[in-house]
Amino acid sequence: MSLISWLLALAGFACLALAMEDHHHWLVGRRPSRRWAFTLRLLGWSLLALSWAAAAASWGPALGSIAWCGLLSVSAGPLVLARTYLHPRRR
Amino acid sequence: MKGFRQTQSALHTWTGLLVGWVLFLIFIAGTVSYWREEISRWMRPELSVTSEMRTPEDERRMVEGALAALAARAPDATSWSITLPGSRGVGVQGVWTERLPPGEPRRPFRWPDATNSLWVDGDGQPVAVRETRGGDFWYRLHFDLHYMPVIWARWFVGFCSMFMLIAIVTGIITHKKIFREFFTFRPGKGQRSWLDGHNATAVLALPFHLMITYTGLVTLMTLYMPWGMLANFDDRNAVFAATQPNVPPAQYAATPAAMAPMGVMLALARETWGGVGPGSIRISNPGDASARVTLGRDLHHSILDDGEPLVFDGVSGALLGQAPAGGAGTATRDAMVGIHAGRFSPITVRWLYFLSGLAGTVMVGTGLVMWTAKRREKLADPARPHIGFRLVERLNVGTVAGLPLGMVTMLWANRLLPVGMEGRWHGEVNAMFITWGLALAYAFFRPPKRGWVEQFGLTGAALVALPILDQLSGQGMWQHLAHGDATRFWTDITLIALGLSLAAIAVKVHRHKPRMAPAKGRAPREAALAVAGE
Repeated sequence: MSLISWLLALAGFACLALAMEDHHHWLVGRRPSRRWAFTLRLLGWSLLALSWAAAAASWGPALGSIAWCGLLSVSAGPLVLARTYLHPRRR
Repeated sequence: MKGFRQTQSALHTWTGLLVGWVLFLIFIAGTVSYWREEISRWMRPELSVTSEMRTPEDERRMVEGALAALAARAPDATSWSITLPGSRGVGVQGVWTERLPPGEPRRPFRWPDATNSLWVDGDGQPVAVRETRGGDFWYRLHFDLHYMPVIWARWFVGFCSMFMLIAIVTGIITHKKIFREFFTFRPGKGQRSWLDGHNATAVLALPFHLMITYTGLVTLMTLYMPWGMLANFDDRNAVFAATQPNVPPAQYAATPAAMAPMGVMLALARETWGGVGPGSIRISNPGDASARVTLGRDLHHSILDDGEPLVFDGVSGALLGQAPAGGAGTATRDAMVGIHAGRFSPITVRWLYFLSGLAGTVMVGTGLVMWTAKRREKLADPARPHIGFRLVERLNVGTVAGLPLGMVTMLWANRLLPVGMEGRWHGEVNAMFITWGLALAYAFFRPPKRGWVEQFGLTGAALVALPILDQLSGQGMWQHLAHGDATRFWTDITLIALGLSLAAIAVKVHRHKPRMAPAKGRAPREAALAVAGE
């Protein structure tokens, strides 16, 4: 369950990153449309909420919330590294 | 709002710099303290995996073994304290306080050492263990410092933590771009990269940084702000009395008496605490008709940092009293202290704590380096920087790289100092501070870049060499694997990983080619923007 929580946070942060112009441009080669950015942001926050639910299911709501904060950190970290060191081929 | 943000930027810079080196010490020592038990295990290799405490049966056997050993070694002590290993440690430690003739002044406090403590293993048999403070030393260091009265240290650490809290809040205001530039890190761009690194480690673990600094202050709140407490109670003793079991102290009877069996008390305590065993046992006037036994709950099972002590009559074994149920205020405080120390953490959460703490350590370190990175381009003559710049630059090398070197030296001292040496744990600690002192002094005699490379490189090599030393002495990773000691095995892997990371930093700094100095015309503008945090 903790792994699921981490994966959900990773996916959530990935969506939030893609909703940002700079990062979207880096991956796709163009800026996201307004609607698309909004959808990504909504999806991102929803996935983060689900990630909390998974952490709470795994550790209980109290300890789960503490663990979730830590999971957020270690899920955003790899994304920063990926954004820095990966160079996707632009279309 | 530009004016406001600029003032916040200045506040952030100077609150961070002024106490930055102390904060680095607090952060790094606090972070490794999440592995307090594991470090203690590493530093006491005489206690093997067979001395873990897994079942209530182990608990009874080991506690009774410790009681027997204490009775043999210090039968007429004023008190015995027994510390249980919990789920992560090994062995049971017994400490005694000598009974002094009436009228003699109390001796100064001593940490458990070879003259006042002993260890028993998983069979409940006494075992000779090298004198060391283990992981407890760094835990204490992060709020008691060393070589000074703890009360001064705690005020000083509190002062620095308050600065840290200010630095975090002003940092969020100053670098409002941290949210706009989430997920962004641009390496190899000089000052820009330092700022990105500082921001990334700050923002990624921001909930942790805020929590740890705030709750850190809460742990000592009755010291820093006693007025709320004193408004409701006459003094500190009254507060203590109201939160502890209401059992009047027993007068020493000087009449030998047989002690009640400990097993019954242990079982009753376990039942009271809902299946959780004790973490500590204290026996006053052991072997006397006035004996009292106080059991404190193992703190590793609940977020609340509350021992819920139970007091027994040591001779009859009757329960005399238990801690009154705390109110919402106590529970809030206990929860904050609990979240700070993370004692309840299962292993996954413990790793998250540790990684967040590392991020905090890196945040403080990069923040310190940034002070110089920002100002280097503005220097009138970069070849001859002014004295303040030089001081900060060298203090950075000697602390950010020198303190870890000192800490690793303490681990080496743990292995190399003679096992029977008198005052051995002081020797280990002195080795750490002497090395750190030498590293600081050395930093002033070397060009900073060489200093970074040499000190990080040496620390990395010394870390990686520790498991090799253990392996050569026949107590290495291979043996841990063969004996099924996962804790020791992973501790060694972690030491190697940390060592390789530091070595990688050293290589990176060594290969770094400074950028060409910017064209004269642009420099002032860039520098001005840099100060504004843009």
